[in-house]
Amino acid sequence: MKRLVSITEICLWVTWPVTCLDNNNPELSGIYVWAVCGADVKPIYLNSLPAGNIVEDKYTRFLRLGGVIAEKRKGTKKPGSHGSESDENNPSKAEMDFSAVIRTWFYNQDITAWYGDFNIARNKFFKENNIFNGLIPASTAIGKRGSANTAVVAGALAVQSKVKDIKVIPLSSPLQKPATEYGSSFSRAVELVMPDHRRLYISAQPVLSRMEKLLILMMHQLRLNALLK
Amino acid sequence: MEYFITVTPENGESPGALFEKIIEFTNAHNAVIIIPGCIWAAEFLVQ
Repeated sequence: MKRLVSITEICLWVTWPVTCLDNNNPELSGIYVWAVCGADVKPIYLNSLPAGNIVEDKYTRFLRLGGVIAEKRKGTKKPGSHGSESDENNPSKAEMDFSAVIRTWFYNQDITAWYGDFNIARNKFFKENNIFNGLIPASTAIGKRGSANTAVVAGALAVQSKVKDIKVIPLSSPLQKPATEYGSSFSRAVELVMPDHRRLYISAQPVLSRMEKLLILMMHQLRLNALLK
Repeated sequence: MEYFITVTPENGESPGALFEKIIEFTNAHNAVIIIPGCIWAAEFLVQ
Protein backbone atom coordinates (compact mmCIF):
# COMPACT_ATOMS: atom_id res chain seq x y z
CA MET A 1 0.00 0.00 0.00
CA LYS A 2 1.52 3.31 -1.02
CA ARG A 3 0.85 6.53 0.80
CA LEU A 4 2.01 10.09 0.62
CA VAL A 5 4.50 11.17 3.24
CA SER A 6 5.12 14.85 3.89
CA ILE A 7 8.58 16.30 4.21
CA THR A 8 7.82 17.19 7.81
CA GLU A 9 7.07 13.54 8.53
CA ILE A 10 10.31 12.44 6.88
CA CYS A 11 12.22 14.94 9.00
CA LEU A 12 10.95 13.18 12.12
CA TRP A 13 12.78 9.94 11.34
CA VAL A 14 15.98 11.05 9.64
CA THR A 15 19.07 12.61 11.18
CA TRP A 16 20.10 14.57 8.12
CA PRO A 17 18.54 17.64 6.54
CA VAL A 18 16.12 17.19 3.67
CA THR A 19 16.25 19.68 0.81
CA CYS A 20 13.15 19.00 -1.20
CA LEU A 21 12.61 21.05 -4.34
CA ASP A 22 9.55 21.47 -6.45
CA ASN A 23 9.90 19.48 -9.62
CA ASN A 24 8.34 21.01 -12.71
CA ASN A 25 10.83 19.43 -15.07
CA PRO A 26 10.82 15.62 -15.25
CA GLU A 27 14.28 15.71 -16.85
CA LEU A 28 15.69 17.06 -13.60
CA SER A 29 14.40 14.51 -11.13
CA GLY A 30 16.64 12.57 -8.84
CA ILE A 31 18.49 12.55 -5.56
CA TYR A 32 22.15 12.87 -4.76
CA VAL A 33 23.61 11.75 -1.50
CA TRP A 34 26.85 12.04 0.42
CA ALA A 35 27.32 9.12 2.83
CA VAL A 36 30.25 7.83 4.84
CA CYS A 37 31.17 4.76 6.83
CA GLY A 38 33.88 4.34 9.42
CA ALA A 39 33.63 7.94 10.62
CA ASP A 40 31.78 9.63 13.42
CA VAL A 41 28.79 11.61 12.23
CA LYS A 42 27.22 14.12 14.57
CA PRO A 43 23.87 15.67 13.60
CA ILE A 44 23.07 19.32 14.22
CA TYR A 45 19.52 20.42 14.88
CA LEU A 46 17.87 23.77 14.41
CA ASN A 47 14.36 24.30 15.77
CA SER A 48 14.27 20.57 16.53
CA LEU A 49 14.82 19.63 12.88
CA PRO A 50 18.02 18.22 11.36
CA ALA A 51 20.01 21.10 9.85
CA GLY A 52 23.28 19.36 9.12
CA ASN A 53 25.91 16.84 10.03
CA ILE A 54 29.48 17.05 11.22
CA VAL A 55 31.84 14.37 9.95
CA GLU A 56 35.51 14.09 10.75
CA ASP A 57 38.49 12.29 9.34
CA LYS A 58 42.08 12.51 10.55
CA TYR A 59 42.72 15.69 8.54
CA THR A 60 39.51 17.69 8.57
CA ARG A 61 36.21 18.34 10.21
CA PHE A 62 33.40 18.89 7.72
CA LEU A 63 30.09 20.52 8.49
CA ARG A 64 27.42 20.08 5.82
CA LEU A 65 24.23 22.06 6.23
CA GLY A 66 21.14 21.65 4.11
CA GLY A 67 17.51 22.61 3.93
CA VAL A 68 18.21 25.93 5.69
CA ILE A 69 15.05 27.93 5.23
CA ALA A 70 14.80 31.68 4.92
CA GLU A 71 11.86 33.71 6.09
CA LYS A 72 9.03 34.20 3.66
CA ARG A 73 8.76 37.43 1.77
CA LYS A 74 6.52 39.81 3.66
CA GLY A 75 5.73 43.40 2.71
CA THR A 76 8.82 45.27 1.61
CA LYS A 77 11.29 43.06 3.44
CA LYS A 78 14.10 41.94 1.15
CA PRO A 79 13.80 38.20 0.66
CA GLY A 80 17.52 37.58 0.68
CA SER A 81 18.21 39.25 3.99
CA HIS A 82 18.03 36.16 6.18
CA GLY A 83 19.40 33.22 4.19
CA SER A 84 23.05 33.96 4.84
CA GLU A 85 22.37 34.85 8.46
CA SER A 86 20.79 31.44 8.99
CA ASP A 87 23.88 29.81 7.52
CA GLU A 88 26.10 31.80 9.84
CA ASN A 89 24.11 30.69 12.86
CA ASN A 90 24.46 27.03 12.05
CA PRO A 91 28.26 26.78 11.81
CA SER A 92 28.50 28.71 15.07
CA LYS A 93 26.65 25.85 16.77
CA ALA A 94 29.47 23.63 15.54
CA GLU A 95 32.12 26.07 16.78
CA MET A 96 32.80 27.30 13.26
CA ASP A 97 32.13 30.70 11.80
CA PHE A 98 31.24 31.59 8.23
CA SER A 99 34.91 31.96 7.25
CA ALA A 100 35.08 28.14 7.29
CA VAL A 101 32.46 27.87 4.54
CA ILE A 102 33.92 26.81 1.18
CA ARG A 103 30.72 26.01 -0.75
CA THR A 104 27.14 27.23 -0.63
CA TRP A 105 23.93 26.23 -2.40
CA PHE A 106 20.94 28.55 -2.79
CA TYR A 107 17.62 27.50 -4.28
CA ASN A 108 15.77 30.75 -4.81
CA GLN A 109 12.09 30.88 -5.57
CA ASP A 110 11.38 33.07 -8.61
CA ILE A 111 15.09 33.92 -8.76
CA THR A 112 15.05 36.25 -11.76
CA ALA A 113 12.62 38.60 -9.98
CA TRP A 114 15.04 39.34 -7.13
CA TYR A 115 18.53 38.05 -7.98
CA GLY A 116 19.83 41.63 -7.68
CA ASP A 117 18.41 41.96 -4.16
CA PHE A 118 19.81 38.54 -3.28
CA ASN A 119 23.29 39.66 -4.37
CA ILE A 120 23.00 42.90 -2.40
CA ALA A 121 22.03 40.96 0.75
CA ARG A 122 24.84 38.43 0.30
CA ASN A 123 27.41 41.16 -0.45
CA LYS A 124 26.33 43.02 2.69
CA PHE A 125 26.63 39.87 4.80
CA PHE A 126 30.07 39.04 3.33
CA LYS A 127 31.29 42.61 3.91
CA GLU A 128 30.06 42.68 7.51
CA ASN A 129 31.67 39.31 8.22
CA ASN A 130 34.96 40.10 6.48
CA ILE A 131 34.52 37.30 3.94
CA PHE A 132 35.95 39.38 1.08
CA ASN A 133 39.31 39.41 2.88
CA GLY A 134 39.29 35.63 3.15
CA LEU A 135 37.88 32.84 1.03
CA ILE A 136 34.75 33.61 -0.98
CA PRO A 137 32.89 30.28 -1.20
CA ALA A 138 32.05 28.57 -4.46
CA SER A 139 28.30 28.69 -4.89
CA THR A 140 25.18 27.68 -6.73
CA ALA A 141 22.13 29.93 -6.92
CA ILE A 142 19.35 28.58 -9.09
CA GLY A 143 15.64 29.18 -9.41
CA LYS A 144 13.78 26.45 -7.57
CA ARG A 145 10.95 26.44 -5.08
CA GLY A 146 11.55 24.50 -1.89
CA SER A 147 8.83 22.38 -0.34
CA ALA A 148 8.37 24.90 2.49
CA ASN A 149 7.52 27.56 -0.11
CA THR A 150 10.05 30.02 1.31
CA ALA A 151 12.04 32.54 -0.73
CA VAL A 152 15.28 30.60 -0.30
CA VAL A 153 16.45 27.15 0.70
CA ALA A 154 20.17 27.15 1.44
CA GLY A 155 22.95 24.68 2.07
CA ALA A 156 26.62 25.07 2.95
CA LEU A 157 29.79 23.08 3.40
CA ALA A 158 32.31 24.26 5.98
CA VAL A 159 35.75 22.80 6.60
CA GLN A 160 37.97 23.03 9.64
CA SER A 161 41.54 21.84 9.32
CA LYS A 162 42.95 19.50 11.97
CA VAL A 163 46.46 19.45 10.53
CA LYS A 164 48.73 22.13 9.10
CA ASP A 165 49.08 20.93 5.54
CA ILE A 166 45.50 21.56 4.40
CA LYS A 167 45.06 24.22 1.72
CA VAL A 168 41.87 25.87 0.55
CA ILE A 169 42.39 27.65 -2.75
CA PRO A 170 39.89 29.79 -4.68
CA LEU A 171 40.12 29.11 -8.40
CA SER A 172 39.27 31.36 -11.31
CA SER A 173 37.60 30.33 -14.53
CA PRO A 174 39.74 31.01 -17.62
CA LEU A 175 36.71 31.62 -19.81
CA GLN A 176 34.66 33.71 -17.40
CA LYS A 177 35.26 36.93 -15.54
CA PRO A 178 35.14 36.81 -11.73
CA ALA A 179 31.59 36.91 -10.36
CA THR A 180 32.60 39.81 -8.12
CA GLU A 181 33.05 41.94 -11.26
CA TYR A 182 29.33 41.89 -11.95
CA GLY A 183 28.17 42.40 -8.38
CA SER A 184 27.86 38.81 -7.24
CA SER A 185 29.99 37.12 -4.59
CA PHE A 186 31.22 33.60 -5.23
CA SER A 187 34.39 31.91 -6.37
CA ARG A 188 34.19 30.06 -9.66
CA ALA A 189 35.61 27.03 -7.87
CA VAL A 190 37.36 26.14 -4.63
CA GLU A 191 39.98 23.47 -4.28
CA LEU A 192 40.55 21.66 -1.01
CA VAL A 193 44.04 20.20 -0.93
CA MET A 194 44.55 17.51 1.70
CA PRO A 195 47.65 15.42 2.38
CA ASP A 196 46.32 12.37 0.54
CA HIS A 197 43.84 13.76 -2.00
CA ARG A 198 42.29 16.89 -3.47
CA ARG A 199 38.67 17.94 -3.84
CA LEU A 200 37.35 20.43 -6.36
CA TYR A 201 34.09 22.25 -5.69
CA ILE A 202 32.88 23.97 -8.85
CA SER A 203 30.20 26.66 -8.81
CA ALA A 204 27.18 26.00 -10.98
CA GLN A 205 28.08 27.27 -14.43
CA PRO A 206 25.36 26.01 -16.77
CA VAL A 207 26.54 28.14 -19.68
CA LEU A 208 29.76 26.18 -19.98
CA SER A 209 30.10 23.43 -22.54
CA ARG A 210 31.69 20.11 -21.65
CA MET A 211 34.83 21.18 -23.53
CA GLU A 212 35.04 24.41 -21.50
CA LYS A 213 34.65 22.49 -18.24
CA LEU A 214 37.42 20.12 -19.35
CA LEU A 215 39.67 23.09 -20.13
CA ILE A 216 39.04 24.54 -16.66
CA LEU A 217 39.91 21.25 -15.00
CA MET A 218 43.10 20.91 -17.09
CA MET A 219 44.23 24.47 -16.27
CA HIS A 220 43.60 23.96 -12.56
CA GLN A 221 45.47 20.66 -12.65
CA LEU A 222 48.49 22.40 -14.20
CA ARG A 223 48.29 25.17 -11.60
CA LEU A 224 47.96 22.68 -8.77
CA ASN A 225 50.91 20.65 -10.03
CA ALA A 226 52.98 23.84 -10.01
CA LEU A 227 51.82 24.64 -6.45
CA LEU A 228 52.70 21.20 -5.17
CA LYS A 229 56.21 21.18 -6.65
CA MET B 1 34.98 5.25 3.01
CA GLU B 2 32.81 7.86 1.31
CA TYR B 3 29.94 7.43 -1.10
CA PHE B 4 28.72 10.09 -3.51
CA ILE B 5 25.52 8.67 -4.91
CA THR B 6 23.30 10.06 -7.62
CA VAL B 7 20.04 8.27 -8.26
CA THR B 8 17.70 9.17 -11.09
CA PRO B 9 14.31 7.63 -11.77
CA GLU B 10 13.76 4.97 -14.38
CA ASN B 11 10.44 4.25 -16.03
CA GLY B 12 8.47 6.68 -13.93
CA GLU B 13 9.95 5.55 -10.63
CA SER B 14 8.73 7.69 -7.75
CA PRO B 15 11.07 9.81 -5.61
CA GLY B 16 10.03 7.61 -2.68
CA ALA B 17 11.27 4.51 -4.50
CA LEU B 18 14.59 6.25 -5.17
CA PHE B 19 14.81 7.21 -1.55
CA GLU B 20 14.27 3.62 -0.47
CA LYS B 21 17.05 2.45 -2.81
CA ILE B 22 19.45 4.87 -1.16
CA ILE B 23 18.50 3.75 2.34
CA GLU B 24 18.90 0.12 1.28
CA PHE B 25 22.34 0.82 -0.20
CA THR B 26 23.63 2.79 2.76
CA ASN B 27 22.32 0.21 5.23
CA ALA B 28 23.99 -2.58 3.25
CA HIS B 29 27.31 -0.72 3.40
CA ASN B 30 26.90 0.37 7.01
CA ALA B 31 27.13 3.97 5.81
CA VAL B 32 25.65 7.06 7.40
CA ILE B 33 24.02 9.66 5.19
CA ILE B 34 25.48 13.13 5.63
CA ILE B 35 23.02 14.78 3.32
CA PRO B 36 20.81 14.23 0.35
CA GLY B 37 21.89 17.20 -1.75
CA CYS B 38 18.44 17.85 -3.04
CA ILE B 39 15.37 15.92 -3.93
CA TRP B 40 13.61 17.06 -7.03
CA ALA B 41 10.04 16.43 -6.08
CA ALA B 42 7.31 18.13 -4.15
CA GLU B 43 6.34 15.09 -2.17
CA PHE B 44 7.41 11.56 -1.36
CA LEU B 45 5.60 8.42 -2.23
CA VAL B 46 6.84 5.51 -0.13
CA GLN B 47 5.71 1.97 0.51
